[in-house]
Amino acid sequence: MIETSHHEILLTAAYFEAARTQLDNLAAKLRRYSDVSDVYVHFGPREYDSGLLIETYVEAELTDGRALLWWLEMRDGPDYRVEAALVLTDEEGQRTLQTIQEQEVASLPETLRAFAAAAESLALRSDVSAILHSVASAAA
Amino acid sequence: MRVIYRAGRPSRGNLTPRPKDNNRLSCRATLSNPWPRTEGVRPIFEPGEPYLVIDSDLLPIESVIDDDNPSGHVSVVGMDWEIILRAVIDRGKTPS
Repeated sequence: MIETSHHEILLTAAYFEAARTQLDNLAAKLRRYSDVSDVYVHFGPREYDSGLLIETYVEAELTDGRALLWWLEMRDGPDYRVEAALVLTDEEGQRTLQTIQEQEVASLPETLRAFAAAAESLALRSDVSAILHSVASAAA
Repeated sequence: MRVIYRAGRPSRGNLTPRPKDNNRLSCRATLSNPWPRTEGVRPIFEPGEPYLVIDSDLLPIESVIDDDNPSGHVSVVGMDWEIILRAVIDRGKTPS
């Protein structure tokens, strides 16, 4: 049985809630763009053969058939890790536009702090027009 | 168990065929890029990028089609993204 302290439970709930709020706010901003036809928010755990991940994302379907993805994940210990990225999905598949954070972390409290901070960083990148402009510039 | 691979992350958009894909989600039988490369087309599995491992036995048998066009291509046809998501058993990253 896993022993979890009261403190760790509270810390986990607080940082997850902070991250969730950031991503919900991001989703609300994205819904106001005319280029965006639909916004989907996911926040949850997934158990893979290689271990437990907390996966969370905001995905905006664009009117031109592409999709933008604000991705954030946290890997459970002992190899704690936080990754955040801005990603584009188009007819050739999915590719990372920008890695916002890729960090190995030593402990659960540090991981939770990094997770919430990464959510805040992602939420700051809500300007769909600027993102699409930089994609178009890079392709030119 | 037979696994197939798809580049990217397990998001709704990546597990839903794009409009031009005729309801077919492109996967690969192995963790490899088609060869020879088509000029001007990105490799499917790029260095350092994530990929999904899908247990095709968890999908209806008729939905997984080895069309081999290009070589090694596998289509998952007519499946809702949440069904495909349940068949994703692992994730990885291609070596940088």
